[in-house]
Amino acid sequence: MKQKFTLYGEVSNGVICKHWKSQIYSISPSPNPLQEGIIELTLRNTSSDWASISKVVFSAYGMKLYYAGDVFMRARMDILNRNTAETGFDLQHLSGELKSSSLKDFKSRKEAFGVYSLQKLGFVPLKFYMGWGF
Amino acid sequence: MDLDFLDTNLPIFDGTVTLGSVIKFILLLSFSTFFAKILSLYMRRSLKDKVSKDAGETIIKIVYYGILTIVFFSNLRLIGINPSGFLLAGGVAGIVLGFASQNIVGNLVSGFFLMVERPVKIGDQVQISDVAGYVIDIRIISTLIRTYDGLLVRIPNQQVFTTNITNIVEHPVRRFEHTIRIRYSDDANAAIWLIKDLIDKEPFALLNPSPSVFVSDLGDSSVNITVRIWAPVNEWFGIKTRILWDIKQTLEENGIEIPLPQRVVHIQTDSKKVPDKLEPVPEKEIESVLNYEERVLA
Repeated sequence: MKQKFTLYGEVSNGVICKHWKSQIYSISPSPNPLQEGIIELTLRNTSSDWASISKVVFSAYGMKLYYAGDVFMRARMDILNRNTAETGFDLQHLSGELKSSSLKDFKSRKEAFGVYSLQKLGFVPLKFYMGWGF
Repeated sequence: MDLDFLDTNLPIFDGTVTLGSVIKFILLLSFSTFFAKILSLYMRRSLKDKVSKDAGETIIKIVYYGILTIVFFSNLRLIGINPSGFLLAGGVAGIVLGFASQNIVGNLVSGFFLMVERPVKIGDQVQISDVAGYVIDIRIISTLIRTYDGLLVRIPNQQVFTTNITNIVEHPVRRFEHTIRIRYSDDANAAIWLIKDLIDKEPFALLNPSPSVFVSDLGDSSVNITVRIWAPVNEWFGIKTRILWDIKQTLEENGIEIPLPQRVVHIQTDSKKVPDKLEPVPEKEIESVLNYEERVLA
């Protein structure tokens, strides 16, 4: 797999991110689980304008993988105004399992083994504030 | 017990000094020294994790010597010395000391402003005048730099404050540049495509800000291609040193070579033109200087 990094934001104070170019699917695809996973992204436009999105940036600390044959994550993006948005991961625990919201794709997934507890990482922001546009 | 001897006037100054007052002065000084030591011990313990070691030690020293100075001067009357006399002497001594220690005071003030403004932090990679390396410590008088060769350089804070400081790691990314020379007979577009492809395969060559590869100069013996790549500040040197050789190898594998300096010489082949006949240049007679006096001065 080709790895690539990029800078989100300004040269003076931006954030270095891992870059991944992805297609958008209306139904869940079936990629090779050893290479790619699926992110279910819920977009919420809280501003009064139309928003055009070309990129989403997530904090790597909040990334928790869920498995059931595939590799799955559920994320959300709240568009706050024309240039800013907030992203994060939904951690819906159902006795250690995450359930996909779509009824057609209803699956119980097992949570990845936690090297660190997200609750104990109080000092690390799990949400990411996208202040340089999307 | 008879303590009358303590009231005995000593033959010092105006005679108001008694043995008791001298002992009182010594006791006060000893007690305040003891108290200051205890206080500095307590402060050292409480400031340990709150301020840096340097700043903590400075505060402790100021408090310690401050207490001793105040106690000493406020009790000088006990041994018959009028402290107001020090004002005049202190004024003169202050001027002398001021001139003597202006460099130290300058460094001290610069150190204070360096700590407040914080243009560099401990651990940063910086270049200050000609010295480049890691900042080991910022002290009240001087800044310590460990050069990349592992040498320790102490720079006075006044110099640090007044010269240009280049902080190498302040921003998350930085750019580097290579100039690649190819022959005029090679396809520059193909070379640019190959270099861009190579950059694309390098993970830490950032996508944004995007790299740029372009023909920058038509040189004497080569077409010069400039390659500019942005990379994370912690990774740039590794990429810079690695990618240059990769570019050279990739270009050579694809038949694009780096030319040696060359000059094209055109030889004139005009057969009608006959070179001028060479005629011997008449030798100019040179006057002997040996008989100069005879000819001119006679």
